[in-house]
Amino acid sequence: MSSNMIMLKSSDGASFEIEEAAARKSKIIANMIEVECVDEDKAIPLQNVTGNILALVIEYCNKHIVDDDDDVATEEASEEEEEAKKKKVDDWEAEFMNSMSLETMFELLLAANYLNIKSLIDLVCQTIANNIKDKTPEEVRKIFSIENDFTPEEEEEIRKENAWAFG
Amino acid sequence: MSRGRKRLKQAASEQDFTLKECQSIVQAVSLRGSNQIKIMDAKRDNSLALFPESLCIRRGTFLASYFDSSFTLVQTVETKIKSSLFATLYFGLAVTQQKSRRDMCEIPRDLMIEVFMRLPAKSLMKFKCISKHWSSLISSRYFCNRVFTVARQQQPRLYMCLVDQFGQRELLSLSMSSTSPDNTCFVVDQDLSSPGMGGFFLSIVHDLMCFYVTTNACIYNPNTKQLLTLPAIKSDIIDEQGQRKDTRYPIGHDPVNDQYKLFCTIAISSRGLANLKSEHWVFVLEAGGLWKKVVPREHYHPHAPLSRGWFVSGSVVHYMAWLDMHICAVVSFEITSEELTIIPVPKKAGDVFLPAVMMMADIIEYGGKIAIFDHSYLDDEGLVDLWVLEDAGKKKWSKQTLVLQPCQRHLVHDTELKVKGTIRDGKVILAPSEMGSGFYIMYYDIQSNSLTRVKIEGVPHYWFDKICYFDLKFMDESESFIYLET
Repeated sequence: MSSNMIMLKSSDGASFEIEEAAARKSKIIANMIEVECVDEDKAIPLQNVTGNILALVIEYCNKHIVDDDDDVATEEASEEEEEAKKKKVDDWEAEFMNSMSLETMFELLLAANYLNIKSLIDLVCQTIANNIKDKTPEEVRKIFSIENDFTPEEEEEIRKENAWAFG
Repeated sequence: MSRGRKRLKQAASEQDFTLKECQSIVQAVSLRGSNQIKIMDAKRDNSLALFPESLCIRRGTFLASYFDSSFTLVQTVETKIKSSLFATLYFGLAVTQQKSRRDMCEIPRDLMIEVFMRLPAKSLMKFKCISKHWSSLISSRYFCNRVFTVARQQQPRLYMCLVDQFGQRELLSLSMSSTSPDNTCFVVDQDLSSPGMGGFFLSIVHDLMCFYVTTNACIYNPNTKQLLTLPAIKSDIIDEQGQRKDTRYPIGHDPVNDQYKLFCTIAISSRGLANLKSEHWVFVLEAGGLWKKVVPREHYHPHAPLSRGWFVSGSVVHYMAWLDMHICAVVSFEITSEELTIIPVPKKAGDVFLPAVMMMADIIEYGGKIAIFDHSYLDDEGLVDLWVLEDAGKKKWSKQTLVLQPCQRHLVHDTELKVKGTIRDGKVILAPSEMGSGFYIMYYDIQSNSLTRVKIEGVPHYWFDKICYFDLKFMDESESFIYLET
């Protein structure tokens, strides 16, 4: 398999080189390649993604392209091997997400959405959900800078309706 | 407008243009003034666009436009692009200022829903008080439907209502025991069970359940624990002393209008189903909902729903009812159009049909068709009569007799059983009428004529050794949050 390299340019001007196979994880870039919108000498400008976030996206894509290749090579792999491999990926993903702040996660989510990388959207959403599920409404408001637009009476009413959830 | 123009100049000066997300190809259909054109997109919708004067645009030129993510079009007009002008269009003021993205509140609605879908019901109910925006997203039907479609792949959950003669009630939630390799044991999830909840005649559609307590129907969402008690029906038929009254409240879903509807049948009769009267009511589950009487059409026949079963296929609720002591029928209620159809089960020479009350039979779904599973002789002779409605339009039925494998006769000996619907692979659920000393159900496999006994473990001890009513239904496992408006 040829390893064509593609250049990506972040909104703040940083350039990144990435294997075509890895870049194809992004549906948008894959589509651009299909319709030959990608000029080999020019970088693809990604105006909604900053350099530090793009680096994370590329790290994710590189990791997962290797895994996808493995899948093809070991089609006959036993169930145990499959499981072990899946665990390896899960561990890597946990480690990968563990190292970032919520703020970074939001930016990564927007980038994954912009570039249309379904599996990364899933991963980030799941991590954000895990992160906030046991938090109090007050904590969540703070994290997301949400202004409480309920009157105290209205809020009390909702809390009463769903009292079981606050136990 | 001036900001829009500035952006256009900026865009025009961009040299290394390639198609990006939110871009698609549109065609210029007419020119208007010096920098306005009318464009047509893939859906043949026209809109006005601004372009920089420096660009040379003619009628028929293909352009890349923002604010549309239909990337497929790019491929179809690809060849034309190469020979025509390739430019970026900015829709004037529609261009928004890019902000620094740090807050979740700037994350698009679709992505927020993706996050919400991964939260447990408890967190979602808690987060409803965060803001009006969050509350409306979590309560929206769009969100609930998304969650439901995603979640329905999983194992079904079993719900069981128990009611004793003093009115004590409990709703038990059960899941397949993980230690039972052949799936023959359900275990009560103590955390998910609700004492004081539940009632008679449990029916379930999607993630809502409906049951009946004293004179009111109740709707309950076990995921959000929201309970709605509906007003009592002011029935036009009144039972006199000594008369029998049967009321059933199955719940159904109208997919056309995405509405949940409760369908109620009330039947009153004297001894031996004499002077039989029946009427039907519908309650649409929406804000300000009311009981509305169903106007019977031609060929209507009063009927008594004596058995407990019904099944819902698509938007139709089917149940078995008696027209008199000797004629039983399948009644179908179409939830969307609110029309009733009554199809009697035919009696041929030689058919032994026990009179109503005596006959132990109920409606089931058999290979996608409606069928009556008559197990009156299962106990003594190991026989089941199965009437299948082959063609509802032509009212054509077929009948077969099933013979239980002789080695399993002991499983049903001296046990009064009731039909409780079917499981996914078509097996019929049978449950003993009285379960004093140990709770279990049985699956009757119509193909192999064999029974499988399925244990139910973890029922609280106070339900043992006493007479109690119980009902059970499967619900596709879903963490869903249909919000009941009142």
